[in-house]
This record gives sequence, structure tokens and C-alpha cells, in this order.
Amino acid sequence: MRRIPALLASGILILACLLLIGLQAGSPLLYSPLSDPGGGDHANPAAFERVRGDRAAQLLPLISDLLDSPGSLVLNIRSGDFEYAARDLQEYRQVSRNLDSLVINLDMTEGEITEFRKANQQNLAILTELFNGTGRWNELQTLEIRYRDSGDSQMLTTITYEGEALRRRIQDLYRDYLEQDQVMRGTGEKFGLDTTGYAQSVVDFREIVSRIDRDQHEKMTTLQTTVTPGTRPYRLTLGIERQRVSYLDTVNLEGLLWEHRKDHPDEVDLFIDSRKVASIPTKPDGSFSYSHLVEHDRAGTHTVFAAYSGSVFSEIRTFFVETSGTSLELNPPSLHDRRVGFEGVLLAGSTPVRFAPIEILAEGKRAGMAHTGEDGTFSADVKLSPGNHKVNAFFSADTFPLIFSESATFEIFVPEPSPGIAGEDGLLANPLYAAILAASLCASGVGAFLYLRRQRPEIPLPSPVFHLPGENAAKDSDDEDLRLSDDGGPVAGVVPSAGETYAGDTELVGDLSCLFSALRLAVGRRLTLLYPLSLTPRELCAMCRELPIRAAVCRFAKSYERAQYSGVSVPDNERDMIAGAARSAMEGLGGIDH
Amino acid sequence: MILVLFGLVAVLSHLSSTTLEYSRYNPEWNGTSRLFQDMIERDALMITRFHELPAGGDSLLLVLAPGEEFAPDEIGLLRSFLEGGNTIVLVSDQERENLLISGLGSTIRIHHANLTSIDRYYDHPSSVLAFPAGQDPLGAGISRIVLNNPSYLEGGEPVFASSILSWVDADGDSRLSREETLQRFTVIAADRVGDGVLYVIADPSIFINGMREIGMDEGNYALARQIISARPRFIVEQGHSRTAHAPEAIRVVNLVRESTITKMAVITLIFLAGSILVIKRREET
Repeated sequence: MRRIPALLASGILILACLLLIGLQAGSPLLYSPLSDPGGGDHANPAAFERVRGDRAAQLLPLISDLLDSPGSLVLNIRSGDFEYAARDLQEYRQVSRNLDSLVINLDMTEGEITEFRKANQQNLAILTELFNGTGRWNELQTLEIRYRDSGDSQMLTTITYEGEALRRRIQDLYRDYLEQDQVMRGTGEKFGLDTTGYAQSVVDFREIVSRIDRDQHEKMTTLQTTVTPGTRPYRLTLGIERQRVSYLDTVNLEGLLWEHRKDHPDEVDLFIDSRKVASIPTKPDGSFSYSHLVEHDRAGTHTVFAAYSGSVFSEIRTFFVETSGTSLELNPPSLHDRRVGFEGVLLAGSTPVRFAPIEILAEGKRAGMAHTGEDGTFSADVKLSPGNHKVNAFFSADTFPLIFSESATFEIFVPEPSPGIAGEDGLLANPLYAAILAASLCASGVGAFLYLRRQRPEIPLPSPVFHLPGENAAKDSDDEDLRLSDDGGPVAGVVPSAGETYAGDTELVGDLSCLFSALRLAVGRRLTLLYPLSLTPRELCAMCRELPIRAAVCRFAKSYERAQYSGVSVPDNERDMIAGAARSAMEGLGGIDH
Repeated sequence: MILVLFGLVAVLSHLSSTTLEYSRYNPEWNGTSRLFQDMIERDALMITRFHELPAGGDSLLLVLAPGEEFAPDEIGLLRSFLEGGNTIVLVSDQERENLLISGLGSTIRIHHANLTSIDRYYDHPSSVLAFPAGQDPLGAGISRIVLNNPSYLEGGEPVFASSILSWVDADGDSRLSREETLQRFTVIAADRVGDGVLYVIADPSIFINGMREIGMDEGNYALARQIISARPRFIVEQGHSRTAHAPEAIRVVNLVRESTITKMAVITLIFLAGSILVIKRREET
């Protein structure tokens, strides 16, 4: 009787435990510093990793190196020592790359350091072009001597024109270099670094420009005095429709080759920034035209001239490419299979920017790359580590006449893959696993039931038949089975009447044992005891304390013990009393044939 | 019986601690239990009212993480204490304390801001490193301290300052933006008032348990030790400080824990109750 509530309580507790375990099974981590990163007052230090290496300590020496590098490089260019200049340029490029990496590592993609970095990148591009330009200038000097010596006036004119284009370009470079001066020196001075090397580079750069100006002026003067009118069989003119253009505008160039032979189609070479961009066939009237699409041209002034047959040159024209702003729009990133999908569009005003590189940044660090298509759209699938990420897209306009732009930042959470149950937050999140859990619970229940059944005694509980004195104790075979023990001794379940006689004390004692066994069995059934046969008379009495037959059972137990263990013969009145107590108890248990 | 005792111990240990920020009864990372353990070992005098401040000019009063404003009369008492040649160390990142600082006659001002730096200990923008910025004895022998979400100070003599690669992250994006400029920020400043010295530390989080776990060789522990032993007498304010915050039950339990006599009395009572229970059971059987 008492076991049922206990079993129920145990069952409920087991189910509750299994449920709690099941809820946590998907992500078994109960506590982690990461789940308690702190609040407004402070952050939990245990939730963060220590910074590896002293990254910040590298920054100032790097900036110092970048302020010093141009000084040595420009000085070597000025002195014409191109071998050392090439080495300086290589080192400068390497230090710049180090700064780029460090700035990204330090998550400083904006602000003063980034301004410095951009100015430095500009300087690197300027000085690289200065190095190439001055190298070509020196070659032109050598060629000039050679052509002058050989009397090749046509080639002399060609290289003089090219020299003129170079001069203008180097002047532009100098202007650009001066524009970086404030940021470069300002940053250096703020950090208490020596900027004299950088200041000297500006002076040396100016010296280079002045020298080239001077030399070119002399050449042009010489050219104008040596080339007399009428010596050239052709005249070539060149015009530009629009002087100021911007990204994806077209520069329309038109010209006319005078005195050409009508029966012979001629070809005019077109040079932009001293580089030949096209050979254009002339029309029958000698005119020619060319459309140049502004796409990868740097912002600033560009020089154009045309040449016919390497001996007839047009005047030098210029056009100016203006910088355009851009807007980078990024759609909210999507998550699939731990990969984050990015889509967006890059526009310059309303014009799509095509074939432009787009960096995908996570926490300011490059996580992936994409390129825009014809319509300016881009898409990328980037694998990110589990956790929260701040992501955005960045367009770096290094080779475009465009201003860099950055998209809005989105926060995205990449879930931690559960071991064995990828993509599931908890065990119950997947119906399959919930079903498995339910099935295992049912199986456990059935197993427990069967186990308990096996643990019950296999003794088939007899339905004891109790006979009052005078009744036939054994009328049928069933009764016979009950009455006979294995050894053919006295039977259980027969309550002798008070008037029956017994052969002797030994016999009585045997009867009393049977009487006790019968009573014990009956009480055991009433109380649904698992092991009633292990009860002693006193325990039987104690077990009946809640039953109305307690007095009769205890009286029987007391007399039974005395009769059983005292060693003296049991008087008749005592025997009657024992039998009376047993009968009374049996009747209390439900009467005869209970 | 043993189970009941175990349960009792578990309940008492649960009741004797809290998770309140800065609380001396909080043994978690955001409490100050370890610092207070050191202070108690140093026989620190805990006071709840400034009338209890001792006379003489050989004391250092630590006011750590005040949670409420100071009344004018309290400021007056503190000023007298300071001008009498004592030292006050105020540890707070709240601008509210500027009223107290100005009342003490100091020019130091706290600017509650999100100070961030590239020079950091943990890979988190709030973990700012600060370096000695003067010759003050408080910073002697300490190469650096690690801050945790600090504010910054203006005025006074800098004692510790962040590196030049620091900025106030006004937009909260943890990154250096165009409008944010790099500069050094003072995080510990000293100011002489009368014959005394006022120190202001703009980050109370440097003394929480979590920061102590950084390691004994780091400056935070050394700084706490310097403060505790700077003057012959060390006093800790417990009237306004958030370090004294705790539910009443915890206060009672800790009162028992901290007093040997009450501890002995409670143990005697427990044994008495246990004995009565045992005797009663025996009688029943």
C-alpha cells in the first residue's frame, strides 16, 4: 500500500531528471565566462583572451619607419642612384604592408591612424610613379643624345613630347605629395616622432621637379628653334570635347591629319600619359576620333597627344578626371550552413561601379572578397567562426577615380555546431530526437515494470480456506493441496476448533506453526507484502498495528511464542485461547474463505 | 543527521555570499572579497560615518566605488581630515563624485567616458593598460596597471595615464572613428589639499576579484598593496561604498562569520540542538 506513492514519487523525480538532462543535452555547458561577460561597470576578464604579443608597441616604430623611408628614397632618386632607390622602394612597400596588416589587426580601420595609412598609401603610389617616371626621364636623356648625334629630328621630337608629358605628370605627383604632408607630419609630431626625414623628402622632391622643369624647358625651346616651319610634310591637330570628366564618362578626342594622301589610309597613334592607347585609322578627309572611357584612370590631370608615323606630333592636350563619391549598399546578411551570404550593390551616384573589388569585413578584419558585376551588384559566401560578428562591406578605390566607401554594419550570430547534432539548439528542438527520448522513456518504464514483477515472489498465493471446528477440512483436492505440506506434515489454513483433541504437545506445536503460517500469509496478502514468509510473530504483530485485528494477532503471537519456545506443555485453556485468537484474526481479515 | 548538517553548511555558505557588483561579500569575479580579505589581514578600520575618522595625520582613507552622494557635512569632515595631513583615495568612475572632489578643494574632475586603447591586456576594448605618468610614490615600482572599462580624469598631477594610442570611444563601436582622436588620458591623479593628498582613481573595477586573477606580478595587486600600506593607519569607508552592499541576511551571517565569539556561540548552539535531538530519539526507542 505504501509502496505505490513512493514509486509514483520516484517515477516523477526520475522523469524530471531525464527531462532536465534532455533539455541540456543539446548544449551541455551549464556555465561559461562567455555567458557572463559583464555589464556596464566592467567586463568579465575571464571571458576574454589575453592579447598575444605587444601589437601596440609595433605601431609607433612602424610609423617612424614610414616617415623616414621617403627621405632616403627621394634622395636616391634625386641623385640618380636607381639601384639604391629600387631597394628603398621595396623596403618602403614592405613596411607599408606591415602597417596595413597591423591596422587591420588592431581594428583601426578609421581615425587618425587610418588617415595616416591612407596618406602613406598615396605616398607609396606617388613615389613608385616618381621612381618609374624619373627612370624613364633618364632614358629619354640618353635617347636624346643618341638621336641628336644621329640627326634624327623626328625621334627627337617624339621623345621631347614624351618628356613634356612626363614633366607634367611629375608636377602633378609633387602636388599630390604635398597634399599628404599635413597628415604625415602631423601624425608623426603628435606621437613625438622625428619627421625631419620626411620634411627633407619634400625638399628633394621639389628639387627633382625643378630640375626636370628646367631641362624640359630647354628641350622645348631647342625643339621650337630647330624645327622650322615647312620642313614637316604633315600637320596634326588634336582636340578634346570635355576637359573635366568623371567615372564612366567618355573623353572624346578628335583630330585632323592635314595633307594626307587620299588614296592611302593613314594611322595615327594616340598617347595618354605617355602611354600609347590606340592606333586610329584616319578617314578619307584625314580626320580621326577616339573615345576614351574613364574607368581605371586615377583622379587628376592626364596628358594626351597624337603622333603620326613617329615624326608628326599634335599639341599636348589635357583632361582632368574628377573624384566621384560612391555608396556601398549591403543587404542584411543571411545565414545558411554556418556560412554567411552577403549581397549588395556599389554605385557612383546612380552609376553602377563594375568589376570593383569589395572586401567583406568581420570585426574590421577581412573575412572574404567579392567583385561587382556589370550592374554593380556583388555577392559572397563567407565562412565565419561561431559567435556574434559585426560585419560590413568595404570598397577600396585604389585603381578607380572614386572615393572609398563602406556599407552599414550588421550584427550576425553564427551558432556553435552541437556535437553530433549539427544545427540543433537542444535535444527537444528536433522532433526525431524528442521521439527517441520518449521511446527510451517508455522502454525504461516497461523494463522497470518487468523487473519489479520478476522481483515479486513466485509463490502462488493460495486462497486459504479456513474451517471452523466440525467442518470437513478436506473435501476436494485443492483443499488437500493446501492442507498437506511438502513433507506430508500438518497443513496450513486449518483452524482447529477448541474442542478438538490433540495427540500430544509436539503435534500441537506443529499445528500452531501451521496456524501461524496461515495467519502470516493472510496478513501478507492483506498488506500486499513482498516477503510475508520472513515475518516473525512479533513483526507480524507490529505490521498489524494499523489493522483492527491488531489485538487478536498480537495475542496470538504472544501465546504462540510462549507455546513454541517455553519448552513446557500447553494447557487446554491456553490452546483454546490461541485458537480463538487465530480465528478472531482470520474473521477480522474478511471472514471465512477470505 | 549528517545530511542535515551538510544541508545547513550549504545553506549558510549560500546565504553568506551575494552577486552584487563590488560587494565585499561577493566572491565572484565582480566582487571585492579578496581585496577585503587583504584589508582585514592588514587590520583595516571599517567606518560607516565620517565622525569615526581618527585624529592625527597618519591615516589613509579608501573610498571605493561610492554608490550615493555625500552630504555637505560629510564633505566638510572629509576636508578637515584631508587638510589635517591625511590621504584620501577616491576610486570612482562617476561624474557625481566631482561634487565631493570640488568640495575637498581639488581641481581634479572625473569624466565618465568609454576610454579605449590599442594598448590593452585582454582582447577587449575595455581592457586598457595604463602606465606611470609621474614620480608619485603611489606608482613607484609599478610598470603598468590593467583597467576595466575606465573613465578618465582632468586636473591634478597625473600618476597613471593611458598610452598615446588611446581614445574615447564616443560612438561605442569599439573602433577608432574619424571624430575620435588619439591622446593620453589620465586615469589616476593626485592633488595636494592642505597638508594632505587626494588621489582619484577613475576605475573602481581594477580592484574586483576578476582583475586580481590576472596574476600577482601585475600592477593591480601591487597598487592595492601600496594603497593599503601607504600610511600607518588604513581606513575603509563602508557607509557609501558599494562594497558594503549586501542583503540583510548576508550581513547577519557574515557578522557571525567575522566574529570569533559569535562563531563559538553558534557552534555551541548547533551541538546543543544536535544533542537534544539524539537524546530524544533514544528515549523514544
